[in-house]
Amino acid sequence: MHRNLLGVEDILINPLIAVRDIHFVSSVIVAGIVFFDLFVASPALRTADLRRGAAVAMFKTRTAKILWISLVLSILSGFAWLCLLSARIASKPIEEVVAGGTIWIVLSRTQFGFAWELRFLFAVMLAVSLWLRSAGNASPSLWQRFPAALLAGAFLGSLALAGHGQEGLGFERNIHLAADFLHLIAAGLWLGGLIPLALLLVYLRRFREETWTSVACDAASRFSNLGILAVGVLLISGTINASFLIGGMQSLVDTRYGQLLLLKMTLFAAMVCLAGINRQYLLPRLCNKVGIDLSTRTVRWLVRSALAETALGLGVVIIVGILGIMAPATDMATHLH
Amino acid sequence: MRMLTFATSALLAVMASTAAEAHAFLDHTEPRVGSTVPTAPREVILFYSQNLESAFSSIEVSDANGARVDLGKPRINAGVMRVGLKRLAPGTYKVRWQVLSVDTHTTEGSFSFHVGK
Repeated sequence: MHRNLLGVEDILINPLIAVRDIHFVSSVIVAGIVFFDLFVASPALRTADLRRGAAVAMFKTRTAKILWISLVLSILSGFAWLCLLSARIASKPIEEVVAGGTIWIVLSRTQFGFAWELRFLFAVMLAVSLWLRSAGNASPSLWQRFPAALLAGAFLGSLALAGHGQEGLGFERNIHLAADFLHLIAAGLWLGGLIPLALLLVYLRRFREETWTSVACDAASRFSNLGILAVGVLLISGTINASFLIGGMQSLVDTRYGQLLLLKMTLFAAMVCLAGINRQYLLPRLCNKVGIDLSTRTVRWLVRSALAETALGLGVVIIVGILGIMAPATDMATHLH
Repeated sequence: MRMLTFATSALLAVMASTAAEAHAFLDHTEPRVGSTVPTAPREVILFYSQNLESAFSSIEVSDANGARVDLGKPRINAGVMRVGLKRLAPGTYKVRWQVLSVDTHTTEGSFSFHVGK
């Protein structure tokens, strides 16, 4: 009686997946760096003597550069996403949808378009907020950091409006949307924070300024606590999302969507294991004042672990980019019956 | 570890339950799919499992000769699409539809209904 228009060949060669992946990764990094600054770096450095030292200066310069590049990349990939999606919706070549005004119809008359207008607004406001902050005080207060974190969260979380979170009707849709929003925010907190954490630890270890081990311990502990919260939210929101999109255990194994989701869950589980090892073994060793040599080695392992988690997280995000354009397992099961 | 076990159990328990259908699928129609109605309907109404995008959703109703018998632009409200019909003579009519759901996925399909005894 009805059929979905997306086949496996479309998935394998679809540039929309690449653009979605770039957009997801860059948005997660933007939010992650801003969140890390608010919840980890600034409290850990608040009382530290090395706040104005070379390590912190290098850390700030490097994270600011990554933040701005990621923000620009997310805006550009967002525009490319809009163009490619318009072409797919209208079943026309991309140059035709640009010249023919289909993009404008998608932007002005669809929920996706509304979400994109909103997200563009958040991106611009975030850019202004970051620029004002960098142009002003070198050590902004909590209240100066908070609006940027709010906007970064809104920018990342509103991606929920552009995907499967929109599915369903009424209350069910609202629950799905809320779960998707929280899932994205938690991903930003944890996955997005791994890069700034690794950078902070690398520079602290490289310059070895006074009290660097206690700052490294404080930052790693704060990030670990944040990680527990993020993992909890990811598990709960992921369970809710899976209940909407998978339907049953059989679909998880029998459908392509379910199999990809299984792979994503496996990568996530590996990330949780690494984070658990950090918390159980590396963090106590770093914080127990065991001497400079052991601290240096421990920090090196923490950085390696953060990079490994980042690589796994990248795999997770790439899968998310693919899943978003596939028919969920509930649909595939419908087609099988 | 206990928390992880609990979370995994919760995940499996929730996933074992019935899920809502995703994408915009046709739930039911008026007149019913494949049905025979004694009097000519004034409109065809399609109910979907999801909210629709009116800018990219369409419907066509045609008679056995392929001539259009609908009144043109459909009216769309949330997950319901309806289109008015011309005065229908007894016979078989085919309904073709294509919709874009708010999650930007396109689905399409067709069905028939009969007017007369």
